[in-house]
Amino acid sequence: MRIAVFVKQVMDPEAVLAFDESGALVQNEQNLIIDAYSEYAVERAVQLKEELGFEVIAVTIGDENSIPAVRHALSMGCSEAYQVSDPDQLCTIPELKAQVLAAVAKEVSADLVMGGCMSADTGRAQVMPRVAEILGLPHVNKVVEMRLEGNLVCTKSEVNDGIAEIDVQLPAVICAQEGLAEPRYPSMWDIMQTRKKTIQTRSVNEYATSCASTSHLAVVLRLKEARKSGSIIEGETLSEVVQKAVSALRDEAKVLWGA
Amino acid sequence: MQSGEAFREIFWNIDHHWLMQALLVLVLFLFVFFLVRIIRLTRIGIPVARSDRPGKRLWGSFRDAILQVKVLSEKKSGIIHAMMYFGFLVLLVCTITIAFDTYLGTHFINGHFYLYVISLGGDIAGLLFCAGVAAAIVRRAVNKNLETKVSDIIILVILLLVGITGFTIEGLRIAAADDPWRMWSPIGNLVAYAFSGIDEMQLVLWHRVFWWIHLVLAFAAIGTWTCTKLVHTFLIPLILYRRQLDNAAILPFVDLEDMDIQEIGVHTIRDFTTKDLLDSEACIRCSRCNEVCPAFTTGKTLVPMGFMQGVRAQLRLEGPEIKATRRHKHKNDVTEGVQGARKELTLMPVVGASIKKADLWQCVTCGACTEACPASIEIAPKVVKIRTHQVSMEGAFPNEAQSTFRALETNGNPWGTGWQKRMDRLADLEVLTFAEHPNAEWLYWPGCSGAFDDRNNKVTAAVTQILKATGVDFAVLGNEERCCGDAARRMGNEYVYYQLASRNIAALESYGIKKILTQCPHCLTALSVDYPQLGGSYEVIHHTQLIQRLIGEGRLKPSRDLSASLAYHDSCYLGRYNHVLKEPRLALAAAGASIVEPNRHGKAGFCCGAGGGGMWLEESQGTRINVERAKQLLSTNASQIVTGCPFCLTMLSDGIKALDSEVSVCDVAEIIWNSTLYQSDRIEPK
Repeated sequence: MRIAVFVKQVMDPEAVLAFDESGALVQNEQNLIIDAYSEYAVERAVQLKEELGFEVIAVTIGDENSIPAVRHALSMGCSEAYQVSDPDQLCTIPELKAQVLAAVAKEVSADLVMGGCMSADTGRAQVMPRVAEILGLPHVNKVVEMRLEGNLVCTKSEVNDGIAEIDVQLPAVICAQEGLAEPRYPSMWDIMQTRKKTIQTRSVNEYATSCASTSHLAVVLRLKEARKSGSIIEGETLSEVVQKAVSALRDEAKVLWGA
Repeated sequence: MQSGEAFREIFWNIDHHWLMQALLVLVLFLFVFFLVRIIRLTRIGIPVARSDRPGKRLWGSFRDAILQVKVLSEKKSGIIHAMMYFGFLVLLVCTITIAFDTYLGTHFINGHFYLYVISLGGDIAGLLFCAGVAAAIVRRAVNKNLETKVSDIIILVILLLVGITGFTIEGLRIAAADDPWRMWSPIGNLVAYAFSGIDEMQLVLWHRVFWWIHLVLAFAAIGTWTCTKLVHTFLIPLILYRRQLDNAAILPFVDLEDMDIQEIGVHTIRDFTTKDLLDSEACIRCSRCNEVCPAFTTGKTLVPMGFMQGVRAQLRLEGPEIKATRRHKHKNDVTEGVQGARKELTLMPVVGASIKKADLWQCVTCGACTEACPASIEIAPKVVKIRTHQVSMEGAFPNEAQSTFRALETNGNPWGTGWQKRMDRLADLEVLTFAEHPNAEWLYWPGCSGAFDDRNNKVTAAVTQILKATGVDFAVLGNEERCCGDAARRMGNEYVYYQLASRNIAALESYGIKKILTQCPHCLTALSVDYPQLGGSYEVIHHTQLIQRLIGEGRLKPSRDLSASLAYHDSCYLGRYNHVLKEPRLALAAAGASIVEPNRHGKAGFCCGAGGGGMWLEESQGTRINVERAKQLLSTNASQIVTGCPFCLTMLSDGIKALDSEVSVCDVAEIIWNSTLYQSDRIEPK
């Protein structure tokens, strides 16, 4: 059995961020690390490899900065690694990424496709369901627990008010949520061994994807406004305070009418 | 009769000398055989070069083994041991001189030397010896904490019987021969009085019987000397000779640029050095290490003495097989070539056999054990070497360490705060970076705590203000600084340490930095002890040293009217490892403070619990080390607690809070700066 795990290299969530007027990120040597959601997927896949002897293939897409993500996945115990080289960042939107990754999943004849349910940087949560759609496979999102029973993937998935237990037939797409597995810390020995392994590189152009035509485009990006701090209403007498509070609710917060 | 004519007939009343001589040959053979066997067993370890500076090494052996200086540092057991040891030593000299007279024809047993040294000296020594051994038996019987084994008692009883029979035959001889010099053997004379009135023939017979009993007991002791714990009399001088002469915090260098590296750290017993293995064989189970260990004394399962005994047991179990396989292999290599059949050994990992996995992480690497050990056995470095293998080769460590490791990897500080923020607080203090001021004399190294931690920022402020006020020419690396790597390395993560250290060294080299002032004793250790292994050698001092220097030069004049009594807490990595004990105390005294010392202070200081990565590990067993230390410090009734380490500052503040006390904890720099500020005209810029 072969598991394809999609991994992404993202900006360190602790990095100091700044944006220009157009909403684009100002590069300030922010560190890149493997995405936490990718790690949950890799960890569970590697556990399955160790339990059941599967092949685990780590796949990433991006410029040369994306390579450390698959290296890390290899250090964690993946058997092979693919990088779809996209030096000009043609495939950064989920729609195109999903097309490429679906093609890779087919190429490596994956029986199970895994990846993060979203990524910590853009948080768009689109790639995995799109891959499932393109491949015509069932997918379970926000999976916090999974095990294999023959051809059946038994999962527990986070839904709004609780946990849904969903079983799907292989082949399937599983999107990892925090809690699926506790990612291991590769030892120095693992890292040194990984140095000797080769990462297979494909060019994004090899996949018949028209990178120009997409169904949607981001028009503008804006930061969320910072949350305003609360204010304390003070006054001499109780009725004065109440009066001030009511007028604040009516005039400033505009949640009262006619009072 | 003139005392100058005094003598004693050797072998009075004794025949069959040949029997004694034959037995002696056998006994000496056993003695050498067992000794050689132990030393050869320890040679399965990795050879270690510890033969430089022979004069200094010999002096250490002489001071701590021959003169018993460290043994005597603990009064009760020290005095008992010294009585046995010095008593035995004098008796040994007496016996050897007698042997010289007998076989080499010398005439020691004559005149004044005989009377004062052999007769009187020997008697007093014998009494000391017997009293010491008896006291040791009583101590072992009474003190249940000593983990006394039956063999401990048997050895002591045999030694006591050797002493008692010795006095018995002396008394019998004096009584039977009516020795005219009997007054020079006061104890023997007393025994002789007990036999007065007994028929001379009887005395002669009993003398012969007891003489042979004495001989058999003594020979039994000598013959088994080197296969019982008494072998420590040879092994301890040996390991003292091979002790660590450099900084005790030093760890073996791991070359991560070597692509063919196969194994790092200690996995099985043969990954220890020969010195490590000799340490375990020399351990006499005196339990002084346990008594000072912060982990053991706060009810954790780590037992430093048990660890040493565990290594010893594992060496005894697997050593002979390893040795045999090596010999076999060697033979095969010679006769059948390398292809020859090799017996592959499966050895037990030391984790699980010599030390439990959980215990490995309870050590705060404070080094109090080695300081207290009469033989200076190195324990913390062994723990760290095992951690190195656990983390670097197996990725096995407590869960909570993972976030620290990752934070260090990604942002170069243990909290994981964005590395671009390191300079923020320093910029507020209007400190220049080396990029802005490349010719600064000193590099000021505030460290992660000084740069990121709110409480320690105040120490940073005090240090920078002192530096500015006294005109010290300094700058910082700012955002180019990374964690020094001490915690990573002592938690066993050589890889992260290497990444941090090599990056720091590259930054230091790029500015040609020579002199570094650190705020944290852990940075001090990493920069001065660890970095030279990677090619970075600098003059590194701690801020308390510079402050004391500035006060001494008259450039910094704290007001002398600080009337408070301060309890000074020694950071292990400042006091014990880097010997900075006087400077902070002198600086505080210059501010007029009276310093009260907790029981455990100076070289014997008690760790705050943060050392060896303890700052980043959870303490799940027993009571908390920082609370225990806070209690010790509060019991001095000092109005304030002072330290020189950011980790100690954090740990002790937490400990004191946990005890609902209001006593504040400060850094030396804060005390001095506040005291100086009261009279700002006292600052004299250069």
